[in-house]
Amino acid sequence: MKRIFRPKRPREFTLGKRGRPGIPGAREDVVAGKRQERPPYASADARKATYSGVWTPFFRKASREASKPSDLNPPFPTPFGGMSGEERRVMGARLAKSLEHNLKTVRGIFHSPRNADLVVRQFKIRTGKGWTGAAIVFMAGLVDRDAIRLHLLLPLMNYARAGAAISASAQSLAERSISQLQVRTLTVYSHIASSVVEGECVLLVDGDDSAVAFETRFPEHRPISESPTEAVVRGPHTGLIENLTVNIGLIRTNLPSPDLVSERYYVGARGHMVLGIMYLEGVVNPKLVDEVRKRIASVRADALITLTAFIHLIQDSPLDPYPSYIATERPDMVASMVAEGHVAILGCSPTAILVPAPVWSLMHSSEDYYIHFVPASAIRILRWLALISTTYASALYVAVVSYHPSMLPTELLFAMAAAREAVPFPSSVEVLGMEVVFELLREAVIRIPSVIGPTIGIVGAVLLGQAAVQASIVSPILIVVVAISGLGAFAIPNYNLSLYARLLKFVMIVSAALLGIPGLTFATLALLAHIFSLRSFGVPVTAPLFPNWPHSPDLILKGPPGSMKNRPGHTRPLDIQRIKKSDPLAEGGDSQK
Amino acid sequence: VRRKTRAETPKIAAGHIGWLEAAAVLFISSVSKIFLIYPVKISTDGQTAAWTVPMFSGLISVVWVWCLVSVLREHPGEDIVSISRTLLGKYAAAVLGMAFYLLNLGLLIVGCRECSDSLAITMLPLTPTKYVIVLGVAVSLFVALRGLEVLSRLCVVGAALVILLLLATSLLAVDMWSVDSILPLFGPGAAKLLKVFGVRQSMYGEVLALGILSPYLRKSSHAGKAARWAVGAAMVAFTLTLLVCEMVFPYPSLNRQAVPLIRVTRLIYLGRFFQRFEAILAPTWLISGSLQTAAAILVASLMLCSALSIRSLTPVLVVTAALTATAALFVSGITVAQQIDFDILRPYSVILIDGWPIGLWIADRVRKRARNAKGGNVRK
Repeated sequence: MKRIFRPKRPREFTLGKRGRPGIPGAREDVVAGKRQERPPYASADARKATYSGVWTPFFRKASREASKPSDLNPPFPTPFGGMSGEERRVMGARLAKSLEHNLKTVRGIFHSPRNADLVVRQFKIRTGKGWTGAAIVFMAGLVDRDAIRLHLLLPLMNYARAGAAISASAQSLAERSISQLQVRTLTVYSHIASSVVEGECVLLVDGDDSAVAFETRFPEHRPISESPTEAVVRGPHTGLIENLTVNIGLIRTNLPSPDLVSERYYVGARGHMVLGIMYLEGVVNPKLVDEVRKRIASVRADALITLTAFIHLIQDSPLDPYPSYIATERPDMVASMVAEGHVAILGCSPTAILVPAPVWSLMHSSEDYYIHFVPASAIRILRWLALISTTYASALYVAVVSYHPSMLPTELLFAMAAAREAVPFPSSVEVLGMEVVFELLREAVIRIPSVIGPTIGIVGAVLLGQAAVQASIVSPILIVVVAISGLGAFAIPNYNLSLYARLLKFVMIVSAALLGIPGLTFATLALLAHIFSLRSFGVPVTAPLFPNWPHSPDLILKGPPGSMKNRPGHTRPLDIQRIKKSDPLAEGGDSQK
Repeated sequence: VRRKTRAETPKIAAGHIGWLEAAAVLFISSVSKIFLIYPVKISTDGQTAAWTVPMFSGLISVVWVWCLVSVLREHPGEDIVSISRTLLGKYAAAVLGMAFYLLNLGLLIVGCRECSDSLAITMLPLTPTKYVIVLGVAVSLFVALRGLEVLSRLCVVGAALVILLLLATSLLAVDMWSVDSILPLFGPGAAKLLKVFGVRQSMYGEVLALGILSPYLRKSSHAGKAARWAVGAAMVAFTLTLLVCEMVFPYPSLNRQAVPLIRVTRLIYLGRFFQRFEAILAPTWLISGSLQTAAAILVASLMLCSALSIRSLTPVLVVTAALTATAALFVSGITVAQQIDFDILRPYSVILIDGWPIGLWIADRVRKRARNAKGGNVRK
């Protein structure tokens, strides 16, 4: 028997022990180690240790193979992959002392002169040994040219003009002669390559086997504006933009704390994407941060463009359209969730990803926290009704009309029967057709130029609905049902959840067409079972209600401010209490005294 | 020996559950039968005193439940089959495990048939029964495959729904109550009633599943708490249902009902625009029935895995579900299913339900005494 039924690898247990900090679901053998401050370009050994045993359903095999030591592995790891052995050797090699050799290698890496964006500016500096060759390398369009001219070239040239002898080492030049804010020393070609593509300017000096990178990034970005999809009546009107540094600054403005830590990572083999993770030290569970770090490190993608594409590679169930993360464009929301013990993943994208994401949080909006808790709770109930109506309204219509007309009040039944008298289709076909038309209209409105889009949308909806009723293709009551279902989708605050509900709507319609209300019940039970089994970074998405972990009354409804004493238990924060008894602010005292 | 038996416990695709979740699984497993003809069968036996049957049967069943809990507490981290292996030997454990599996399978098959036929009669008159059976079992299998953790959390939701619905039904049917219907208090007579109390304690037989669920409890000491709450809540639910059914339908007409609880909800009139309270009951009944089927498939499969030392649960779950659906199609109708259920399986299942935990408890006592007599203290 044992041979026939081979034991499967047991799934991760997801329930941590009560009273013990730990992210439920995070495997002990993976995350038991102490927090490691790993640099973005980890050593080969560190990488090997990271990739073995990391949860990576699709990339597990590839990552394990990649971590095997081989002759092709250069002495220093490179941030770029997917290249030939010779290329890897070049990228991982140390800088030479000859400037000419170094420049030739860098030009080779960047395919210059074919690649017109690489700028190599050669000049002479006067050192104790006489005139020495030097060069700066940067990528046009990514750098602040004035900063390079004023703070880099000008001081070096002035020294030369004044006849003063300066040091021949790039490191010494950076320490004594350059007034730029951030500098770092590079010794490997791959580091030069990554610095240049990120918008840094690299200084190379003849006779020195190290280079110095200066912070000269000046990528164009749009001004800070409100997110169009998460606009609020009350509350801050700022939104994230396509610049990581600005985004981090916005979040720091909302949560000015020395404990707010941001780490940077680089993902992607050929074109790498810069990611930042933010968390509140002392509140966030270190196992959650480790899990995020390891999942980021486990990604073996060629070139990633956006954060939202990247998150699908590290979410718990990549095949499932259920959003197991919170995507938001609001810095205040990111800050408040980070303060609760979540981890934020940011990139050069106006969307921030927050993990773990329980299903309750997907129905919350920033505005809930800027208005009184009673209307906030009422609005939340309305949103839940919107979710239910999106998923079930059309299916319920099919079930009642096709199988259980006796459930309706007599007058309503007669009215519906009269309205459907001339319709030649069964109710399921009628509903499916109308829902498809509605989705078509919605998709078309997104693609139509914004000037005429709304007009076309309204005209299309009115004309199509009216014409369909007059042509006896659908009944008038169905138009009302489909409209309720469609409006509900717009009222769901999370776009991904709204998409999920719109997909589920069709499953429910088919279930109702097959078995009426019993079919709907079976489908609902299967859906609930599926949702109860889902996890977001190892945490059940139904936590902290199922399983019941400590939390404040801020799940379906919003409690009064005084009741928000605990942070949500699903993050398993190190400090569960949000308001402490001894906190003078909570008691109405003055913390300044 | 203990190490070996522990290793043989199959790994299931779920973590651990709390006492409330375990109690919810046991409660749903026991109580979901009240939506079908079960109240009528109890009423046939207990006549006007039928409502006392769940109470006194529950009190009698406390004996074997206590024995079960006591044995589980003595052997933390082990299931009832592993304990039987230690105390009674491997062959006896395998036979008892198989007997429980077959009992569960039998109840699943007839339960499926009863449920699908009742559904077809009450709600889907034009839908073929086999269609309902296959879909119902498929959904239950899907839930069971999600694992014990998911199933138990769904059971918490289901249990809350069932309790709320029963309370609402009872309160909304108050105007239809007739206290005369439950008189005479002793129904068929005290002697006959006592026999009914003994035989009908099988209504709590599903609580024996605690023996297989206990290793998955977060704290093994919570087995007793889970059993207490499950039996207590089921006792209240059964008593309330029978009391309402008996007071709404006089004894002779209650015996002619196919699904008395659904009939009660059909009689409830809330107003012109809310005509059928049944519309709320039907989904709750289906959720409860599907969860009960899922729990029975999971528990039976775990029992079989433990009895035959099968390490992988998934194939056993699929086979059990397939057997259930196939065999349910061969049962000729709801009346045959009810006959097998109430005249054969449930009355005689008392032997296993009572005998196994009590036997284990006695064996444990004897073994302990023998060891103490030899002067060895095995467990400190």
